[in-house]
Amino acid sequence: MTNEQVEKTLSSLDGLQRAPANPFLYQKIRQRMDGRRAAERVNPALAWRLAAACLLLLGLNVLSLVRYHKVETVSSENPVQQLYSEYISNTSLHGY
Amino acid sequence: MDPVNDTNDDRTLLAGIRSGDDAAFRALVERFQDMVYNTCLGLLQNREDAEDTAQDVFIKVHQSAKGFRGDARLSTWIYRIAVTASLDLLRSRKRKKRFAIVQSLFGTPETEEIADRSPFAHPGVALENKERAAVLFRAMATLPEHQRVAFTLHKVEGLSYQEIGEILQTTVPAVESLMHRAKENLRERLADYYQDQQ
Repeated sequence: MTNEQVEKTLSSLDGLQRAPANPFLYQKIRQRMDGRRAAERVNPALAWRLAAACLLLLGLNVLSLVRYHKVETVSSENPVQQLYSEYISNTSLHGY
Repeated sequence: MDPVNDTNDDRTLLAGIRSGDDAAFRALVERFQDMVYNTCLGLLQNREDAEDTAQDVFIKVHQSAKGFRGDARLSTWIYRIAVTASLDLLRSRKRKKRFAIVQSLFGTPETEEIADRSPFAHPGVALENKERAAVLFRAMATLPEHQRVAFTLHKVEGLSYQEIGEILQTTVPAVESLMHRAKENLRERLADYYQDQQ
């Protein structure tokens, strides 16, 4: 009895008709392909804005570095400057 | 069901696609869409998956048209892409299922995508065979990959062993062996199923 069931089931796809695809399959494929192309395309306006932002950032960094370097240079001169200033002021106080 | 035979039209279509002719691509899709959809449906046993995968197949055909050397028939090549795409999806689902099992061990609930599917009803099955066919499809889903592909292409697409051999790039005796083992495995699983039903 089981064997009969098994063989009948094994034959249940005999005469199977092919399932038809969605009639709008081509349109769906096109939508997907066009969507991918749009995503891959770089927006020129966005690219320019990004480039400008990078340049600005770079410029600010360079400016900061230059200023930092100047401050460091001035700070390193201060002890000598201070000593000179003191000398001058001492000289004027004591009348030399 | 008669398999799609390549003609000079197929070569013309390919040449058109390679040169970016949209009308040629549309004609190719319309010519092969039932073949591709039915193949994916037989393997994936789910209409949404089959439709998504069919779209992927044609996109792949469009992208790979330049590289197709013509060493096989156009229909054979497209069948190969459809089988590969379907198997890739099945493997991906299996990986997610394994991960979900691991997650469940740690108390994380499964996602909807890995939930049990309802029995598959192929729309082309005769009414009197619908119930048995659903049982058979469930059993086919447990077959090893190559046996499943061979059995599906033969029973669902009506392809000969010669045609299946060309698609799988193997010999006719190898396909005969796959079919023999597939049927033996199916008989065993169906016998267990019907014995449990009694």
